Parts: sequence; structure tokens; C-alpha cells
Amino acid sequence: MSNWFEKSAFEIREAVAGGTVTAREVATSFLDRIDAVDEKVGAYTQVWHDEALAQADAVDAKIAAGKLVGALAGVPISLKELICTQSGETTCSSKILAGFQSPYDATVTQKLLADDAVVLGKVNMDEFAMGSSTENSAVQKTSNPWDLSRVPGGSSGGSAASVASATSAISFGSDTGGSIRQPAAFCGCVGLKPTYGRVSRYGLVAFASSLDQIGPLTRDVRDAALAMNVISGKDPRDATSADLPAEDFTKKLGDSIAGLKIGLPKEYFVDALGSEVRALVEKATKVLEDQGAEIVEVSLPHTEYAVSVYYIVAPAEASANLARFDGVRYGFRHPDAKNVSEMYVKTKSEGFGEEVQRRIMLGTYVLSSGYYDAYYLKAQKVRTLITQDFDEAFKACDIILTPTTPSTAFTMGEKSNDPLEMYLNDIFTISANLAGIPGISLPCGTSASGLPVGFQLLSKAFDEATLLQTAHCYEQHADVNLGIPNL
Amino acid sequence: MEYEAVIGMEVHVQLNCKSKVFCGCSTNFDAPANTNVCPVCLGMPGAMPVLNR
Ligand SMILES: [Zn+2]
Repeated sequence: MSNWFEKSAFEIREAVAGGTVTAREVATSFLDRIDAVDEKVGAYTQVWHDEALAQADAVDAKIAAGKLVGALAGVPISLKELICTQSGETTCSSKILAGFQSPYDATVTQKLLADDAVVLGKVNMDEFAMGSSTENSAVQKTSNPWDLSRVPGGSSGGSAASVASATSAISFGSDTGGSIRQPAAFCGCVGLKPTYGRVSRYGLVAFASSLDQIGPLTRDVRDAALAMNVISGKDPRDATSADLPAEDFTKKLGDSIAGLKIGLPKEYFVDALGSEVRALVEKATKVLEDQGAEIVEVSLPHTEYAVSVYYIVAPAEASANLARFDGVRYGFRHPDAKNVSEMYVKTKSEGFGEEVQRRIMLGTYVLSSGYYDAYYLKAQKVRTLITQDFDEAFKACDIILTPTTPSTAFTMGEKSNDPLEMYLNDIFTISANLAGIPGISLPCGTSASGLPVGFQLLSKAFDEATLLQTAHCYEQHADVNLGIPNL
Repeated sequence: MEYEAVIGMEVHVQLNCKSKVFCGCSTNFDAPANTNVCPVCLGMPGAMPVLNR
């Protein structure tokens, strides 16, 4: 008797479509697992028991009737709180959207349902995706399943914690500056941020529109490729989605990487990088070298400006995107205001948490007249330089390899009083968002204290196939198997 | 003192279109209340405008 919650999405889909197990049995296994362990982990903000079973039954009925089923038939998934779903609530883990029911499904939600995935519920995040530890959630705390006193990373911390604790086979998060890859590294799972424009953002509550991208957190690389097959593609409702022919992201899995050039950017192997992480990332590089990859040194000279640029661009866009939460049309409205102006002020002051308010103010400041040229315009220019760094580097290599994070998961509260130190968690991940290129974080071992360590692979825009091929090759030959933590 | 005249004009025109500029909703006058609306023109969280062709 196998526990279905331990299986990969690929194995589950094969078994369900092949009739060895029913989607209901699989869903029940995961729901029982949630009931057993999520009280400790706190990944889920909403669990949709009845609805998940109804979806599973619908998949089983399709199979019984001999109908074709989708690419994620019977695969239990979870969605980050900012992906719109007609079912349940879409709160962005914020008080200002507490109880908010979206009148429509995000394009990604629609695609997942159309491919017969079973949605178990929604998972926690830093409020409006602003944070690196999920401690900024207004709903609840989420723990790292490997050490409950530590953070799961963020902002897609609920997604990573859920996949790591085997309470969903795939979780869909979003990545604006590392929000998929950093929690994946902290929790020991695979996290992919696709190329900007690869996946529709329609129905993803916007944080920074020029940086946001939805992506999967999974147990292995094949599942990430499988998920990409379902969610990517042009969407007429998202003008920034790329109009490219449909692609099978699993097609290069298993192909040799002999002759592939992998670049190590010297600017990433800096003092801030912990020695344990550095050693494991170097070991990972060796695994790829042993498979025939050629390791070359590359330079991304404007790396040191990435965090500064990000904390101008992202808050600027956030301040515009979050202006709509004014208490008038939806969400929280302060009940005790004498006039409209007081209503706005009280609603925003009480509805938004501290970090969100900080970023709205920062963004409003850098966009304000008199400061726009000095900050926002300047940041946009440096952003172009960072993009050009990657264009240059990719002339000398096919893939860039870096650490995902400077350190392993930190303890709760350790960095919550120091926003700057928290921001530095994303120094290795932010550049990919600024340049719009895809990145994946993969587990490459554990620290002496038993915490997962991840490393990152980056590729040219829209070359997810090579990215996944390289990641899969590593996974097949690395002998890194973290398993499922004891909970 | 020399002055350079800079003249800006803000023009409000009702376009002769069958649908709204950022979504596919009808601009039909006199329709029942709350029928010619969608997540985009209501500015719902996550909705994105797409310029009409
Ligand atoms: Zn409309």
C-alpha cells in the first residue's frame, strides 16, 4: 500500500489515467495528509475538502466513460493566495482582501481545471507577495517543514512548505524578485520562474507588473515541465503574454548535456555567500561538469546594483497597482470614518500591513515629481544595463549557474525587524526578474544542521526547455534525495 | 522676462465604438444596470486591460 501523497505529479497522472488508482483515492490521501500535518506547518489558508473530492469524482467519471483526460488528471495542487479563483477566497494574505471572493478564475486557474487538476485549496504568502519569509502574512505563520522554528522563505512560502510537506503535488506561486526560487531553496523543492510573458498574468493580483510571473513549485524537474505544458501560452486577456507556438517542455528531458556551456558569474560567488552553501553549489557544478558540460567563467558586472534597482522599480509599480484597494468597491472598508478622505486613510492604514505600506510609500516617493528622474528613470536605465549583462554573458554560455540564496532558512523573527537584511535574501534571484529571463532553483543537498540548500540555473529568455534539460540532468546524476521531512 | 507658451489640451470625446476601450463590454446606452461590466472595467484584483482593436 503506497501513500499517494509521496508520489510525483507525473506518477499520479499516469496511475489515474491508467486506471490503477482513482482520482478520489489520491485526493483523499492528500486531504488526510493535510489534516495530519498542516496544523504544524500552516501552509494552507483554505482547504477545499468537498470541492476537491467533487473535482476528483468528475475526473473519475470522465475516465469511466472512456473520455480523454487532461495532462494533470487527478493531480492534487494548491494555489497561492493571489491567484484568482471563483471558489473560496482570494485574499493575498492581506486584511484588506479578507473574505474577498473573485468573480472570475485566473487564466492559470482555468487552464489547470481544464487539464483536470484537483485544487485542494489555497496557500499562505507574504502579504501581496512582499517579503522573503511569509512572516508578512496577515493570516497566519507558516513554518519550514524541515525545522518548524524556521521560515519557509517567501513570498510563496505556503507553496514551498506545502510541496515539501507533501500536502500538494504541485503548488503554483508567483515570482517577482525570487518569490518562487528562494522558498523552493529553503524548503528543498524545485521552483521555476518562467520567462516574463511565458505564462498569462490575467487573474494574478498584481504586485509589480513588469516583474511578476506565475510558476510551479514541485518535487522534481519533470513535474515542473509537466506544469509548464499546462499553464504557458498566449492569452488574449494579457497583452504582455508572448505569442509563441505551444511547446512540450518535457521534450529535452533525458537529453545529454555534453558540450553545453555553463557560466559561473564571478559576481555571485561573493563574501555574503555562506561557506556551506558555496561548497554545495560547487559540488553541483561538478556533477554537471561530469556529465559533459563545459564550465566557463562569465561576468555580470552590474549585479551589485540589482537590489537597489529592484527596490525602486517594484515599489513604484506596486504603489500604482495597490491604489485600487481604497475600500470603495471591494475588500475591507474601515467602518468608522466621517468622510471619504478619512475612509481612504483609515482603510489603507488598517488594511495594509507594515511592509506593504512601506513599499507603497517608497514607490509613491520615487514616482513623485522632482524625484522621478533621479530614482525611477535612473533605475530603468540600470535595469537595461543588467539585461545587457545577461545578453553578453549568454554569448559565452547556454546556462548560468549560481546559488539561489546566500544562506539556509533563518529562524522566525530573526530578520523581521530589519527590512534591509530581509531584502538581501534575494540578491541572487532579483536580476532574473529585472532581465525577464527564466530561472529554476533545485535542491543540492543539506547543511550540517539538516536544512535544504538550493542552487539556481538561468537561461536565455524562452529557453525553458534547455533550462529544464540541464536541471533534469543534474537531478538524475546528483544523488540528492531529501525525501519528506518527519512531521 | 521671456515666456515660452506651452499649451496642453485635455479632450473628452465619446468615441463611436461598440465596445469599451480596455475590455469587450458593450457601450450600449440604456442597458439594465450592471450588465455592461466585467472584471476588467470594474478594476477587479488581477484583471488586466487590453486595448481594443
Ligand atoms: Zn468590461
